[in-house]
Amino acid sequence: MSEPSVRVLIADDHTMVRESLAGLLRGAGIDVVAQAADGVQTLQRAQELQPDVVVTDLSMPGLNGLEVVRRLRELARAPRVLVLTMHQEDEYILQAVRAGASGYVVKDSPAAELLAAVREVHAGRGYFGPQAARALAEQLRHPGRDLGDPYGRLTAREREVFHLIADALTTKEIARRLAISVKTAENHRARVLDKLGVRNSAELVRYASRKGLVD
Amino acid sequence: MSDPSELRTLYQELLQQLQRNEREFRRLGRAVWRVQEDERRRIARDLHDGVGQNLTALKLRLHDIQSALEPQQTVLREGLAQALALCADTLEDTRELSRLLRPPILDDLGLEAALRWLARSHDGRDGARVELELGALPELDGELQTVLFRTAQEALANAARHAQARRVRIGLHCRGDELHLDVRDDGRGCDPVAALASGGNGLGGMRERLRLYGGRLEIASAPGAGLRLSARLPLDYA
Repeated sequence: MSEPSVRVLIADDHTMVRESLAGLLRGAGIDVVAQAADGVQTLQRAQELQPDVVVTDLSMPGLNGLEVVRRLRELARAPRVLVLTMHQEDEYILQAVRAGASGYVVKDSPAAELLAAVREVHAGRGYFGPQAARALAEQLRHPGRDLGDPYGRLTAREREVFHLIADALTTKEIARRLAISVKTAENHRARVLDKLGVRNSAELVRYASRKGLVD
Repeated sequence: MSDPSELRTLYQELLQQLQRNEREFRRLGRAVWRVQEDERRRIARDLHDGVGQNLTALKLRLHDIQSALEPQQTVLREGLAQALALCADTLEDTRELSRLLRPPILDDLGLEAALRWLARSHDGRDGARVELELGALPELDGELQTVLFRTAQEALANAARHAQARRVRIGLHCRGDELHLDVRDDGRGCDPVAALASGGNGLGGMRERLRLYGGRLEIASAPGAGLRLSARLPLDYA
């Protein structure tokens, strides 16, 4: 075979779906290096085995699926991520893309489409099923229609500050930790709260835990 | 007979007792409603992630078998194609049932995404244009999100189904310590008093539910003049 071998990690909490998928991929000569049944396990396996592609569901116990996608993309040797889900609504698609997914396919797509998606994503291109493509085109046409994931709108620095606030650090401690002035830390904090539409640290922590952004 | 100061004390005590009862009643009402919504959430999830996933796995298996068949096995091929089509239809029905009970998007992505989805999925249905305007909202707890979502959902169903509106505008904003949900339509309107008198489902039920959270509902309408529904809900309902 002249095709490059593709190393895939499958993440889905539903054993039967996972097995069927693994069978399908293996049958097509794709190397399924591991399977994971929840978000935390997915991140661990991805870190250990460094697969080329992670095929992941969005609804898994433990950690919000979108956060799994986000964290996978932040790994040192980040895998490409293909979201494979039951959800067809535009809101899921756009948030998955914002989180860093390279592809989005609904689970009942034909087998051939799944295989094509894995190969395309592995080759460094994006793959979006007809529904997902339509949603993305629609969003481009109406960019003002923000489908709202305030966390996704934070800058890298603001996200750092966000997690420090969630860890219950005071503004002074955050300033020290990031080696910035208290005034600057104060500004970052205010902007983070503003972007998330929360009034204080307690509400931020509640937001973070609801979105599965903290362990 | 007691003297006036004693009467005043008695009156105060009675009033406090009434207020305590009222709070207790609202707390119980919320608990009942919460149980109901939790149940809907669980069944909706089971349908979506349980039955739906099984059907998906079944489809994948059938695809496997299909690809193993020889081209000349036409009868088997046809039978499999029908089985796959039945699977697809049942999967779509399952998704729809799940959404009807409680759309998973509300728990997965929160109120804003759920309202956007709600407005979009009603836009064009029954010939009505639906517009949504969302202000910046503070972090809302799950129950408030559910109350607001259910109110908007009911109002939208009402506008499209009963009032035959051509245009519906939904607005949700936070003003001070209150949430303002306004739904206006250009439908045939109704008699607000009669509409609110209906308990259970509909506008009357909506008002009762808002009351449990310390909120209130006002309706302005006249036959043929559309309907304006204003729900006011405090951020702190406890």
